[in-house]
Amino acid sequence: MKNELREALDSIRAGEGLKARTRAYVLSQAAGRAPSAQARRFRRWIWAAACAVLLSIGGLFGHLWLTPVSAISMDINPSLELELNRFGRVVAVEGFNDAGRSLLQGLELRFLPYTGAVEKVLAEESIAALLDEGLPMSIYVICDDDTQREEMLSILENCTNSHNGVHCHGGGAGHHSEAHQAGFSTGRYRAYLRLKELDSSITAEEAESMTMAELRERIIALAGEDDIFFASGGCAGGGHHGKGHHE
Amino acid sequence: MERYADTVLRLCLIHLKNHADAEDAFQTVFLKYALCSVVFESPEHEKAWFIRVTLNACRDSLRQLFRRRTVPLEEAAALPADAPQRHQDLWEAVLALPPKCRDVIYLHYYEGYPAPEIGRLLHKNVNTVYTLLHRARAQLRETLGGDADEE
Repeated sequence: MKNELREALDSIRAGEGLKARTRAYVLSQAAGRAPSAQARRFRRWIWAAACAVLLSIGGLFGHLWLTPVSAISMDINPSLELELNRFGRVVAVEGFNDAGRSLLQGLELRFLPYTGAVEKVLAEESIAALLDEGLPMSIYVICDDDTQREEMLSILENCTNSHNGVHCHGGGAGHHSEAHQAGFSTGRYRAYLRLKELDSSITAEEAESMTMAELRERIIALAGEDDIFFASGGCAGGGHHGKGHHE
Repeated sequence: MERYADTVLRLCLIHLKNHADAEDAFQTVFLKYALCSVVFESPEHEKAWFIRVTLNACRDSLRQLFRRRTVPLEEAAALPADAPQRHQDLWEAVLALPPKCRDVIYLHYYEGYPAPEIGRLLHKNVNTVYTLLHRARAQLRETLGGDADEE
């Protein structure tokens, strides 16, 4: 039956007349009801292009949002660093000693404005206790753009005015990755480099075992409180400038 | 149109049984094709789309005929005048089947779709397809004689 049915149905064919009438009908109906295939293709192309542009903008914004362009080292005994995007938001945090890592475990700083993040760290009980003991805290701004760095330092000085012993200074991004490789925050590493300039016998291992207050005291002992590292924010190996304050 | 015109016309004729209604449904199917925005993944996907849309167009056409309370045109001879009598008998026997049975007989014996594929095309359970095939074969055997269930 299969073959016979196939043979019987094979003889049914759409004639040229039917096809021609159908083409004419489709053309007449479709002309007023729908865009041509070319217009549909063009519309699809426009949609695809719009999606591509939106994705690119989204990707670019994501890239800009997540790429750190500056950083703030905060060193007292806990040593930590906040990486900031170009919008001044914290995109990454890292602790450089056990106390720093332990402090960060209980703190959610990501995507906060840097002023909010710094205030949050300073408000932490353990940090407040150390400041009350009279230990100095170094806030070191790392940014290659001099204008932006000055602006950040000015803002940070204002927002840390109420805390005793907080010193703000800064410099360019030189030694940033080198410091991390050596296990230092950039601020502490700059202090170590300055101390090494003043006392070549100091080793990285020794510096690593010293608190920021001890590093600071050694620099002051060798070069005085007006040393470039504190007074102008300059430091060894960079020729950077910034400003500090002492309270 | 060249690729699917014959398939569409056969399905229309099997369902509507006359050339005038079949031609209306045929044109409707190709108008829908011209207006549709479906991106076909393969020729098989495209063919399945044509079969489904044709069956729907035929059902719509039958519904309209019912609503208009008009009597369908006399069944026209779909096969050429010089077709063998055996083919004419077979064609008439197929047209005498219930519409659901006609679909599965055509899709299985002519288009070569297996029962699960027919189930997907017609949105029917595969066991229902087997039942319809069995019922169709039995009716054809009864009408045409004993060799209707040859594969």
